[in-house]
Amino acid sequence: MNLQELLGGRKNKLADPRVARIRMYLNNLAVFFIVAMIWLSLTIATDTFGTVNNITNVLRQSSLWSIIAIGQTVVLITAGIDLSIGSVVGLTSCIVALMLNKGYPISVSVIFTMLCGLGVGAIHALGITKGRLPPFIMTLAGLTGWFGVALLITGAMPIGNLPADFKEFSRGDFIGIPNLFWCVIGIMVPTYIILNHTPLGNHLYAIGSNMPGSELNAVPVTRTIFFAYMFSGFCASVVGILVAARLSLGIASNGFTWELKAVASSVIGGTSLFGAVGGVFGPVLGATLLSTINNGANLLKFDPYWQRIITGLLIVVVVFFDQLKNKGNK
Amino acid sequence: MSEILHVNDIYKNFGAVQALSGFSMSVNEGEIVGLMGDNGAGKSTILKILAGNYLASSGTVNFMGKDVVFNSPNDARKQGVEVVYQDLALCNHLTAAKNIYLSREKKKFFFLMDHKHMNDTSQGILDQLNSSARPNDVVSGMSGGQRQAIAIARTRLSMPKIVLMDEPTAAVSVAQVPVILEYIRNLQKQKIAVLLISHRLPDVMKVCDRIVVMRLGEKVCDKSKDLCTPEEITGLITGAIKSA
Repeated sequence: MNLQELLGGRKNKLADPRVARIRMYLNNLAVFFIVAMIWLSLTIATDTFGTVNNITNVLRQSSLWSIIAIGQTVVLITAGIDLSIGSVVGLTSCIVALMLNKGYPISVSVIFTMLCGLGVGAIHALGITKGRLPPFIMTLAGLTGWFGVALLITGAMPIGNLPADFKEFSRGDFIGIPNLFWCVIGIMVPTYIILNHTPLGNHLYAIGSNMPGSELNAVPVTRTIFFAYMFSGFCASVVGILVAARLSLGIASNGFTWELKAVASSVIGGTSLFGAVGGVFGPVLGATLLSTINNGANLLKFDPYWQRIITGLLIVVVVFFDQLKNKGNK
Repeated sequence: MSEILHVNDIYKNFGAVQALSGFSMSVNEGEIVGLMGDNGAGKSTILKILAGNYLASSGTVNFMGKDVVFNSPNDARKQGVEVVYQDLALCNHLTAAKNIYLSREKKKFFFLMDHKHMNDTSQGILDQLNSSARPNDVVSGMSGGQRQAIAIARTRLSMPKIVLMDEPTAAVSVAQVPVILEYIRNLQKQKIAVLLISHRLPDVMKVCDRIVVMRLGEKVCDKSKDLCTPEEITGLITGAIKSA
């Protein structure tokens, strides 16, 4: 036996990076195909689905979920989870509405709200890294805690009377594409670059794959986890601002249960709940699928409770296959 | 041979558990030192102190003539300490090149990873190790030998002064053991010192210049391999012989 055979071992098909890439493409392609089929069926089955107004509406809704799903994906890649997203959306929609209501300029209100989102993420990361709390518990506390803060600062009342320029942004478009979708592109492109082409992205995947091993290899684990949760908080704050603009009011219940939409979109889009697997295109496709199901169910006058049941079933099926895939990797 | 590492009177406790009690040893340039002991003897603890994973409770580490404290694995690496961990510390979902360069990724344009440079260099190192692993291969699909090669390849990114190896032959097949021992000898030829932690007495006897035996956090033997017998080492490990 020569040295090559000894240290080299036999070539293994599973080691080929193309296999993992093809799996990801196939997953995205399958979700894309399902979305296309549902769109086609709904266009045939209803008079209104295929209208420009309705498609724009679906895209707007999916844009909001896409942004929080991208934030959630970055956290899931580290084998963590952010269950506070919905409450942070509500809280930040209230913060921006309160500031605008008090006469602060739009730019100041928006920047301050984004900083609040980053701050919320930093608090979660602090609890996880320094307090050694499991991400599930820390962000579950955030889910109820930030909702409480939003109720407290608004007195549980909706905050309206927002400036027209602010409201206009979420309803407008640029070269025929809704502004909200431009916001998705604005989040997607840098996230893609970070995940695939920077050391920080490599560290996110490394931590999700083997956190103790990453620590032994001098990966700045604390800093990287701070980035993941702050980024998720930032994405939630962007959506909080956009949803306040879209609905013309800030209210604590904005974004209610959206943390589950974010997890579902991300997982449907191929992100693994076990960490280290995920990208930016999948969550956008997942969010589009969920908003299509919601919209289609409304148009077909389905009982709205069924939408929740369908989303729940989708998560179970996707996670089941994710688990099978994960066993295969071990 | 000049002394490059000297640890003096190191104590380390984890709460009430005393892992190291006044442990001292030295390693010379290009020397291969075998560190042996039973489970819980403190071998991995001293390795992790030298690798910057743990801080000693007390005692000093002198490296290359200077008293040092390695606060992190990065500190240790910068000074010329490379480590091959027992579990290899690989990230299964990353490619070989990304594992080899983990936490010291080559950059271009200030913040982007230089994939080409990382792949080319990794390919070169893997070729030197005669490994068939390719830089773009994902670690999860690799054989045990290929994974070992990736862990070893990490130590070749810099020109280390010392390589710490924790049970490098424990997780490989019998046929792969001589290859790893040959690699250790090659390091010595390049005047790189090796601290080899191993349970496998035959490996240590084959490749080491000197053997240090630990028992319950203390050093019970430190002498040239030529002056040791396997029976004596076994007795020291088990406690049948108190010290030598």
